[in-house]
Amino acid sequence: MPRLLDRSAQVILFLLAFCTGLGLARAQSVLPPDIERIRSSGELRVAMTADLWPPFFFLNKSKELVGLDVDLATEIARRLGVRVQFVREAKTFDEIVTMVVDRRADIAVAYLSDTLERARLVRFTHAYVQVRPAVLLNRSLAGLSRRGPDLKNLLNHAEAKIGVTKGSSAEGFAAADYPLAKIISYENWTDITRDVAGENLLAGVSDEIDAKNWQTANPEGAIAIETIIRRGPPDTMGIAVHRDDQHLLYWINHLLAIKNSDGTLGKLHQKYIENDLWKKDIQ
Amino acid sequence: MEKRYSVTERVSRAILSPWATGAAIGLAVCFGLWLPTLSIGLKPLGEIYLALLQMCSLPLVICGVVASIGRVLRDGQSKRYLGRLVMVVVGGLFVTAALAIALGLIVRPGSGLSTEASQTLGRLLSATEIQGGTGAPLKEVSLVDFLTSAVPKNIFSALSLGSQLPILFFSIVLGISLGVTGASRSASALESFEATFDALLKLIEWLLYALPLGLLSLLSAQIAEAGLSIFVAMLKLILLVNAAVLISLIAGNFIIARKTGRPYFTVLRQLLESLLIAFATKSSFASIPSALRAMQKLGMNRGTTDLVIPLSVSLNPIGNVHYYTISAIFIAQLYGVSIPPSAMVTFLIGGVLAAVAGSALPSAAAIGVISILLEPLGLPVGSAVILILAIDPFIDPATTALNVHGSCVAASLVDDGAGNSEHPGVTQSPFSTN
Repeated sequence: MPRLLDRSAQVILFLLAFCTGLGLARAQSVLPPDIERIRSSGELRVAMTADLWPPFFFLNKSKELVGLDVDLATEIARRLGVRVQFVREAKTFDEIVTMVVDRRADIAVAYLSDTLERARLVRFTHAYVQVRPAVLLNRSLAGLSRRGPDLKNLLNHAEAKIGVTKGSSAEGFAAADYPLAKIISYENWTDITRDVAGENLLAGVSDEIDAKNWQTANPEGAIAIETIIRRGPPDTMGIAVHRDDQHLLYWINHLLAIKNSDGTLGKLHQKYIENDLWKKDIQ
Repeated sequence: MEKRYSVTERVSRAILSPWATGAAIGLAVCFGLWLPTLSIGLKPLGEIYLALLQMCSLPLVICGVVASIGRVLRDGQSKRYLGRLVMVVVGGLFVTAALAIALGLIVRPGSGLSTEASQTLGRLLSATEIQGGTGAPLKEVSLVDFLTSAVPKNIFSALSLGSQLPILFFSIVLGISLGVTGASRSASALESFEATFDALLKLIEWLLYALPLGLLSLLSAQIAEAGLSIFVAMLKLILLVNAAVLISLIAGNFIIARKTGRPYFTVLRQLLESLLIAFATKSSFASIPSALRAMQKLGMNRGTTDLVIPLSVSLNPIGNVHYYTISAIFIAQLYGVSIPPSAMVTFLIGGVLAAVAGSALPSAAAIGVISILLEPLGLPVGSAVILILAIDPFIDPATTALNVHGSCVAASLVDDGAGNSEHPGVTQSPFSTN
């Protein structure tokens, strides 16, 4: 019965092939390729900007990199069982995204807003922290415009000049919230605050982190400039991963969910966003 | 020959003497500076004392105004009398505003702040504004709001809120209507207002026994709670307002001395008690009874004082004129805005209106009236209110005292000295200090 033999030979061959395949896989690794890649390299490369952004990442008095993002990235690496390696090369926040796309870094934990534009290129985890939008308003110009205290009324008209940092999430917010105003893009936030103080700009739009850092650096500035923390939709920060690293994304989201329910994320928010105690340790 | 006193009389004289008051103030300063916890613990005691004074003052003011206006109208001397009152009030306010502007422009309290001072002010603004989040700014008070608020929709709600202006408005209207109602029918009503007035004055006299204790607890808590860094940062403004108050007080006292024909320091000594009450309680109403007593002792016509002092505490608040006008100049100088000569008249009128509007409001809300002065110049109101509110504890006591003193000056100017015995049964204090 050659046909029957043929059939059993086929079955035996198939079983053999299956077992060999399984054995090969087991010998290689049980881990998905994205996790495996990081595990085998022994380090998690975390992208950040070259500029420091307290309280997310900054140098303390003993010149160590610390901050909310540093705490979080270190914990992710520890749970993955690898060392953490911070790659601080990017000049802008958009460049951080490019680094993850080009696989020059595994993830980005870098005070990075999860905007829709960025989410076209990389995958974002759930937001791990959110900061409220803030407006720095020149008091004298606001008083002279005689438009009353309402912010929308003050900023949304043709004579209003508003500064935003190029490539920041505030750029999009400002254009959407104040369509009639003249939105001017700046290279950095320091120039915006200088021009608001110098009455070249009516206002600068960013978030509460930028606003509070400016207040700390220029305590007398509040005489000329009012800081308004807006109730509007907050700016959310997510961790960026490569679009192919799907399992890593799931795993980090799972870790964030645990950290959220055990109160760790809340404590981080309290330590770095609500309180100013970290400022005592800044270099 | 020396008069002999019983032990009780001696004790009561000691408590009511200026020495006891002076000792209480000295002790309050020591407590406030070196025993802040105890001072803040004493605060409830002071609050009770203030509440007791205010409890008597409000009905006292109503009875005084109603009865005096009723009498004035019945005696048919209203035209001469009220015309002079309006002239004195308007004149006093404008002269004070002009003095305040001159002082502000000469001394320039808001120019050349040190870096440290600027940083203190900036930190205060940041801390207050971040705390309030997007918080609605303090309500700015317009002139229309002020006029609307002067007429009470419900007199009992105005009474329960202790809103001075609507209460005065109602008292004046009631006094006028009682005055023009036939004498046979309104006489008993007017008499009952007078009797209540006398009874309340008696109550206040008893309360004065606790004045040293009240001053001690109120002042020590105030000193303990005051922020010292902001005091240093805005020292020039604080000193200037207090100096302006002192100038007006010295000048005003000359007027009273001249009109009453009493020696300068006798006048000052008589008025000292009411000035101290105003200073410690920061409530001009609470010190009205004491001012009334003092002016009667100086030989003023009771018909005049009972009406003019309560009215002009609210309508002739020259202390507030110094407060708001000089503060507004400070803010203008802080923001590098000079007041153009063409705007000077508007600024002068603004200072007067803000002062009158401010007297109708409790002090925290009253500072909002500064917008009347700042808005025409395009100056920021939000930061101004925060900054001035921070130094209010160092300005409000003196300006309140001047409000009371100014109303005594107005009374002495309105009074023509005729008919001193118009009211029967003028209360003679059994504890007179002289």
